[in-house]
Amino acid sequence: MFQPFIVKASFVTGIASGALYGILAIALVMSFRMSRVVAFVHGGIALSSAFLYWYLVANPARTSGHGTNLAYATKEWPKLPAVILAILLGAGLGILFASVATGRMSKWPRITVTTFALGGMLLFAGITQEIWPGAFEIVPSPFGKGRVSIWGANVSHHQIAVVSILVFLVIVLHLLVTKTKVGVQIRAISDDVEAAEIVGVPVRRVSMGVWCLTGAMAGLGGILLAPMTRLGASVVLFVLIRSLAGAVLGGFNSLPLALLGSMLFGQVEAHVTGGTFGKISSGWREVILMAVLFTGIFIVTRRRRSQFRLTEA
Amino acid sequence: MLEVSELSAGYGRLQVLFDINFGVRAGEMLAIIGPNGAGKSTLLKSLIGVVTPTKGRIIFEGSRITHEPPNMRVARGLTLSPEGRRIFSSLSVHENLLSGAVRTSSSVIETQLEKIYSLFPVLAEREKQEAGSLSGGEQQMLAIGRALISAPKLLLIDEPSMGLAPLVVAELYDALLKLTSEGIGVVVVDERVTEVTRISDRTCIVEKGRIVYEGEHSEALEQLRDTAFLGTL
Amino acid sequence: MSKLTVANITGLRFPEKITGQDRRHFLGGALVVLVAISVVPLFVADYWIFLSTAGFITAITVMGLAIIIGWAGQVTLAGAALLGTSVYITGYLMREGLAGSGGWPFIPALIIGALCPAVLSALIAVPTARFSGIYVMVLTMGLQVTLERTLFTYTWITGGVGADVRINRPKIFGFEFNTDHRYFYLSFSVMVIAAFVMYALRNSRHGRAIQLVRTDRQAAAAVGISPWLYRVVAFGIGGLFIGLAGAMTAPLYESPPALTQYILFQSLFLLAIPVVAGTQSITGLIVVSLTFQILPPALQSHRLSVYLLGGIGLVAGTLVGPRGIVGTTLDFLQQQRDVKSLERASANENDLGEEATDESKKASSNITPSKPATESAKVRKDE
Ligand SMILES: Nc1ncnc2c1ncn2[C@@H]1O[C@H](COP(=O)(O)OP(=O)(O)OP(=O)(O)O)[C@@H](O)[C@H]1O
Ligand SMILES: [Mg+2]
Repeated sequence: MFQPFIVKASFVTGIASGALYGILAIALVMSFRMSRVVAFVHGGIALSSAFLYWYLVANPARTSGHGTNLAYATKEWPKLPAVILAILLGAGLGILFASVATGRMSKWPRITVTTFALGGMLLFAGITQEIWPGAFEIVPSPFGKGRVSIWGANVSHHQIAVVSILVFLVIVLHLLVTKTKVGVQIRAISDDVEAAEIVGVPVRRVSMGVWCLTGAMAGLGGILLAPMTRLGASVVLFVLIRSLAGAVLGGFNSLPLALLGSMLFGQVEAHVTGGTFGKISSGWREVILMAVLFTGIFIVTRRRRSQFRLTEA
Repeated sequence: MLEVSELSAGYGRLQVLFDINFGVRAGEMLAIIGPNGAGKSTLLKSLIGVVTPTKGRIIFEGSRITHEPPNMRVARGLTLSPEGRRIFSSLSVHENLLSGAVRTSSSVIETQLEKIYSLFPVLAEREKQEAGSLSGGEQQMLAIGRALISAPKLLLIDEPSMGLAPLVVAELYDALLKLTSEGIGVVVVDERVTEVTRISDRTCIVEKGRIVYEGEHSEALEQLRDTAFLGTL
Repeated sequence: MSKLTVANITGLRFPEKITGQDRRHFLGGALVVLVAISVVPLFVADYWIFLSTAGFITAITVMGLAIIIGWAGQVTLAGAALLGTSVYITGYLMREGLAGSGGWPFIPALIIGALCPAVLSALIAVPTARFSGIYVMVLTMGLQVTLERTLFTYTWITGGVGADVRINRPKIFGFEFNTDHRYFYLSFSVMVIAAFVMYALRNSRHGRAIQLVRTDRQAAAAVGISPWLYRVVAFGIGGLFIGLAGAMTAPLYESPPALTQYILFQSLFLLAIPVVAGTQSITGLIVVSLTFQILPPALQSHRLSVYLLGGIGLVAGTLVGPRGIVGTTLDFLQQQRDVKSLERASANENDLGEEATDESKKASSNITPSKPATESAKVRKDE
């Protein structure tokens, strides 16, 4: 039953999808550390950026409405400006959200602000669907269609790029957070907002900056996600919930643990889907992932109960 | 250097401070004492800007700062070491100190670091250690050091002696006196009435959000005996 | 309708006993609604009848959500999945029954169908009861996605979307609710009963206990109320309401409804309703449910999609604050009335002398958004 070929292939797929979840998970953890809010809104941002990217680069002959009066005149731009625009859109939406969440709502109960984040997600998704009511679009990868063979597994350029981008992001963020003055301020805010304000950290400005960055990362995540499946609202949600699970496994607080969680989810999913353990239906895959998530939450809240009360809303 | 007039402030609908008037001169140490819940911490917080005043004026070195955000006030040379220390426990000692230096040039940071480390040598030894693992006294020194990194002209300190042994308190007070001798103004809120009024130049007594007394320390003690609000004298 | 809103079944403001003027207001309001509900359907197109029926059923769902959000202070993202569970299970039982028994009658199918989500909802609350709200959100989101990917994909349960799969409108005690009009009245009655049950529950000992747990866990624990148990109970009751709504939905379309009605985004859409309405006024919940159900089709020419409406609702509702848009508006109206009555009182001041002045002063210091209960009582007496 354990065929080396399948295991290898699943392992590689798992790394690529784990890396994708990781990018969003980092965005979620960083936003959480800034504002104590689960940034559901990143799901909406990823969706908007993905659709914008699709609209800018896709071949109009291959869109879902092709040949009907619903056809979209997609643009077939070169990839790079489209990627940049879509990331900028993500950054802008991140700032838009943060201007409320760190302004008017900065001292509100975090469950309310998190509900607001849900609203942001639904709103961005709604607007995107208004503009492009399509579903399951085929999206070309910014890195072409090429494939190479690694360890006997057939790997696409896109997958390699996703992993490389994650590694790059992790290194840059690590340097930013540990080695710069801004990094100290970011960590000071996530440690104790009021104290950070007292010692003169421009809390609002730094938080907005971080939300801008995480919004851009969510946008990037959306762009990278789209070519890996077909683009539709539910697909993005699926990735979001896996990233959330990864972030939860890190207690929303630790970047390395969140990455580990995302990778774990990527692996479990890839092996279950890929057939390492024989044929398992997609329903059972969901149940297994849910069980992992559940256990994760349980461990995390156990571990941290001693540190502070999680029950404050 | 600091002038406060008719200052009122509170939290939401709860008003805590009523028409506060007082001033601080350069190189002077002002002690603020009063019973629990009188509004001492609220007063310091509204001076640094995390509590917004509903009325009144705060003038620092000739400029009106009543509605400036805290980071602007810190840049002007007004800093606070808050109640309960509030050091960043997951950051190292060095990073804690740096967190207070948002708009400070690196040359000033260098000289101030030297000064802080000579004032509290133990911080130099613990430079790379996580701040959460420091002892209470060391944490308080760190909190004061963090407030000193931007080379302030006026330092506000809330309850530095809370939960500390007498010897450590004496060391802290010595450090504060050293600061005033360099021309830095110090406002200290403390519950150790006798000790703090002994080292301060002047004393304010706050009760129920109002300044009920202001003057020299010996008179302050007299006054205290009359009101006897602490019952410890 | 509006009379009913302000004066009567607006949740916590309800006076201890319905007496005198209040009773007349209440009965008056009820009469207005009854007349409206029996006359209006005669004049509008069947399509609107159908939509209103769906609106009533949505209102029951939303009551369940309001119990979880408002009483237990938790946000559940599994609303649509719980609803769908009940829809498909009830539908299955009505079509096939169990173990080849043939299709069940409506009532037993409804009972089982409504219990399933209640149990699921309570179960998910068991381990989460000690977690922070954000983990509850993540977990319920997980439940939602899991149900979407498991139960909803088994076409032998859901029935698929084939045109040949029929679910007949129910027959209760020999009476067939086989037209849209009849089902409209049935749904309306069920909704009214649900509203009264919710109202009674809230003022019951257990209802109070649930709310105490939300506002102050320590205090609740101190008086012997188990925060854990009551959170589970709140989730269970909420799930039961949602389940009831699902069971009512099952025969509504006369065939299995599409999966897309029960996906995660739909949960968010449903969540928007109590957020907009605030969780205190049951009337508010009903009115907003009807509005949210009817608005998207009514504004279809302006392309107002369900997601967009839900998104706007959630964003605007949270921006306004914990009382929701309806609650905030009511507070505002109440304040206006208070101010007016104060003006009237001060106009009468001269005639009435000292006593009136004191009274009005007391009243003016009392005007707060959070407790207009005594105020409204006073105003009504003044009139
Ligand atoms: N964040 C806050 N929100 C609401 N009320 C507050 C807040 N902080 C303080 N208060 C209230 O303001 C009043 C004054 O508090 P404050 O902390 O200024 O007193 P204090 O003089 O510093 O007392 P202590 O000696 O105990 O430190 C108290 O009644 C307190 O309950
Ligand atoms: Mg204090």
